[in-house]
Amino acid sequence: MVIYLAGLQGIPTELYEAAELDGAGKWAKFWAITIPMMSPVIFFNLVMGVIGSFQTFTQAYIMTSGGPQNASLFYILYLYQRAFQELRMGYASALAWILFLVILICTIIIFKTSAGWVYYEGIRGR
Amino acid sequence: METVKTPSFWERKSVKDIFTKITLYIIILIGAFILMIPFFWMLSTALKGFEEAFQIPPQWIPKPPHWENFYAGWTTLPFGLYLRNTITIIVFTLIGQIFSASLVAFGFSRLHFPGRDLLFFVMLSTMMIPFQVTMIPTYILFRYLRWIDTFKPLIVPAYFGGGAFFIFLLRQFFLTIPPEMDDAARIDGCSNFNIYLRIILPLAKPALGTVAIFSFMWQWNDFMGPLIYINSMDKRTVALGLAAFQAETAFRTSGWNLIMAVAFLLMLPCLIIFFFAQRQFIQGVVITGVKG
Repeated sequence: MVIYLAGLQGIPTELYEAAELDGAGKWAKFWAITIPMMSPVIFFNLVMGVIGSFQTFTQAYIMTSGGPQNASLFYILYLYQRAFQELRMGYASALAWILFLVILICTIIIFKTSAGWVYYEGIRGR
Repeated sequence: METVKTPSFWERKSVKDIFTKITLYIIILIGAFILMIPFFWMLSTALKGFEEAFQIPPQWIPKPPHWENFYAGWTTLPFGLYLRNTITIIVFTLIGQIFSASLVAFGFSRLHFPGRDLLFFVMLSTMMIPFQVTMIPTYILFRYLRWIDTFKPLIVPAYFGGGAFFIFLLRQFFLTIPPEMDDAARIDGCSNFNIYLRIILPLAKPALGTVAIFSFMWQWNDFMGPLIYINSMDKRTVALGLAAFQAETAFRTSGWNLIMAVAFLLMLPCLIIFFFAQRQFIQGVVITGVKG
């Protein structure tokens, strides 16, 4: 939320004034100015959310240890159990590599889509 | 000349507007209250006697309130010393992270050099490997440097980029700054470093504020880092101190009420900084707006 607040600050107020002169309502201003101008920040939170979710660990580790019936067994928790409870370091390292590749591919896909919906004022040629 | 009277709040708003406002506020207050329950619970436990703390159903307002819990809890362990250690670490990491992360982000967003995007992904990928995997190799590295049981493993990395999270965050903000500003400065003979120092940094103040808040809160709450690298009692941070406190008082007569009292005191700095920063942010939204 703090990140969004900081992002809101970067939006020039002239854009809103111009839109008001053209008769734009609240929703029109939100969709046509706020969202596009915030898109770099939204993009950041999206990428961070995806990377962070793949690495869900603490909640499951503290609250359930993967139970009941493995219903809350997350990838990293599985990795952690193999590595530090069964001491199968090689297997755990291989798991880590696979997770890394999965996250990397997801991130690259998100980055590829960003050309279509993220607006950077600081990049030329638009 | 006839003076125009500005209509007061009540004159401007119709009854329907006021009704909508009140309804909205009630909904927001209910939401805020639900989110605050754990906080109230902590404060109420902090003011309870030992037996009361385990009463079910919980007594929300303890009678009489045990204000002495705060003092008793704080002095059980040398929390003053822990506080000094934590602040030392935070001050040095904060400076390092703000400057090195913004400098790297400047390179990734404004300069053009071969392999830039590849390097950017390499940097991002440091975030994709979970902490649990890199924990042991990092520890071994710092042991080779003989930095174990000093603050160095916690401080020095902040001066080498300051972490992929902050670099990525700042890059996103720098990319929203119009490049015409750089051009204008470059025509006036500004070097790249001066563009960074005099144009990008001042325009990215809200983003730098965000970095500062996050950096502060993470260092303040960081438990795993100090736990791994710090062994001596007198070098503990507050997070370690609190954990040690919990372990020590678990079987004694004074337990959770004192822990909650200390936890409450240790939460205050974060809360205060957040409130102040938030006011800055909201004022900033109303007054300024970067002219594009």
